[in-house]
Amino acid sequence: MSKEFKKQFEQLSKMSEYIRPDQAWVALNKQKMLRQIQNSTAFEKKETSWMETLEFWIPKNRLMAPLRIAVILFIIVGMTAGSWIAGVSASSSSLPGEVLYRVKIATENTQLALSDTLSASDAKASTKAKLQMQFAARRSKEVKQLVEQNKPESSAHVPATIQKLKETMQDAQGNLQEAKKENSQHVITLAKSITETTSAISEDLKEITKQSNTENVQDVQIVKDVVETGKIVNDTGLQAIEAVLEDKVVSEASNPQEIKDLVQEKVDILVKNIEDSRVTVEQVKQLSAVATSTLEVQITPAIVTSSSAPILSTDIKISTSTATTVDSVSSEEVKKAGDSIKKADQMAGEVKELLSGNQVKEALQKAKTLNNLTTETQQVVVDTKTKVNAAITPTLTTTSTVQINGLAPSTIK
Amino acid sequence: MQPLNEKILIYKIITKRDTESYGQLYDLYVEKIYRFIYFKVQSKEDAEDITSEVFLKAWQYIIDKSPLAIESISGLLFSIARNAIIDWYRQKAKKPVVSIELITEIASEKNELEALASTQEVNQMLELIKKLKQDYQEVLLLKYIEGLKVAEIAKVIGKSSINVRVLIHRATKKLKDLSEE
Repeated sequence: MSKEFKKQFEQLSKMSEYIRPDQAWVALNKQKMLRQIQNSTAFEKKETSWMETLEFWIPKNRLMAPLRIAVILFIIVGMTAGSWIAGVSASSSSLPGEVLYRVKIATENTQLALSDTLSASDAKASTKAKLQMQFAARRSKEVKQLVEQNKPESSAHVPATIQKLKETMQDAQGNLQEAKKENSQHVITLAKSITETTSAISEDLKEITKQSNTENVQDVQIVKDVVETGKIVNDTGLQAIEAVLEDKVVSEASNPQEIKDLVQEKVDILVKNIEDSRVTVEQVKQLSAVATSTLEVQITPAIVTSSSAPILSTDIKISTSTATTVDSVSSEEVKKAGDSIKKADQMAGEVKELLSGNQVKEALQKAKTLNNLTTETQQVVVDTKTKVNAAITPTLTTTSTVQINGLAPSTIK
Repeated sequence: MQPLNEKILIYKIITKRDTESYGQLYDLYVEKIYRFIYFKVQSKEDAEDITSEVFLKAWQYIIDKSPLAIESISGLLFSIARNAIIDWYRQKAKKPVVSIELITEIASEKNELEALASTQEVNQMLELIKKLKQDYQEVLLLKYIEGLKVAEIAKVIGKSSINVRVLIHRATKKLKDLSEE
């Protein structure tokens, strides 16, 4: 087209802009039209398929073809990933023994394997340790939930899960040692996260111990395992703080009060454990006292109902001997446990003293020994409780036999 | 490809029967459609009537459309307008009797349009365009006055893009020939 023509068209186009409808008409017509379409249209929403929607936003043409392919691929990948994520997230709340639990464990293993490849070369061990701590916390929550369910099928999975928790904690410990050799910047964050997680796990373990029934042989083993695991957990927490103190750069960079507080937190957990042991021993004492008195009460009806003297004397003999057994067992064991608690108490006092004198390193070392001692005390207390329970249970059985003898149908008649 | 805001409006109209969105579309296009019609019918009253008819038909078309295959709202509106103009001419041919008032009005509007052609060249151009056949007039108006793309014009007049290019080329050539006569 010639330049002259082009210019004339441009002028014509500009000029045509002046050809406008009357604005009053435009507004009026709009009102009329909208009223008309509102009256004539059924206002049900139109259902559209995703293909139709895709067609609308990205119409079929050569220019759009790559975009269409990209969007379709994105939707497919998104849906696949979405269903996988949905599956994995559903599995996150699953418990041992459930179908999705395997997915949960597989996801964790994948995360661990990926952390090796994806994390920076100077943060591999610390990333792994952090993950393992997360997983350990999950295991402790699982054990807690299983115990709370109080069902035989749930309880069956408890030992294996505790074992897994123990193993994960040990692995985390190993990685913590490795992390010390890595970038010291990561050590402080790792130490903090470990201390937090170990405190949370300790709380869970305490709950598990409370929920367990020490009259049950399987439960006794669980409690023992929990005590042992608790030791590893606290040990890991203390080791994490130690890692910070050992590293010059990190310890200089970190706030001394912060480290002191971390040690204090761990010591508090141990002191609480000692306190719990003391409460348990008190309960055992009361239990044995009640058991003895129960025996005496139960003997009384035998005296009243039995008509023959030999049976009566036999009854008294049996009851006296069992009561003595409970008494002797409890006093021996309780004494042992009490001594152990005293020792732990003494050491806890020493640690606190060191801490108040700002001797954090010494306090930390002593806290480690205190951890061992607390664990021993807890084990002694569990044993005491078990033995006393064992002594009480047969006593009650004997009593029932006595009653049968005394209340023999022939005698009553 | 139409602008995103128009796409959103159409999507709302189709899926939610949103009259407010249609009102916005009306605001966007009413002047263009009116102008396109006015060039053809040269009457204010008729242009207004046809314009409101076009928008009512377009609403019906959009909500009836399934699947959501409205590639270009401008293409759709101009295409409906074009058909409405054809219908208008057919009806006009059937009723040749026109009232005296209307004749006066049309005459005055013609004057109005010509008055706009301020320069001699533009005035001459308008006269030349009027001499062209309907197809040529249409493509030139849509292309140079309304600024539609070739693909959109193709949709409006129901021909392929290649045909439209050829038409534009021939129309401008014819216009040039006429101007040289």
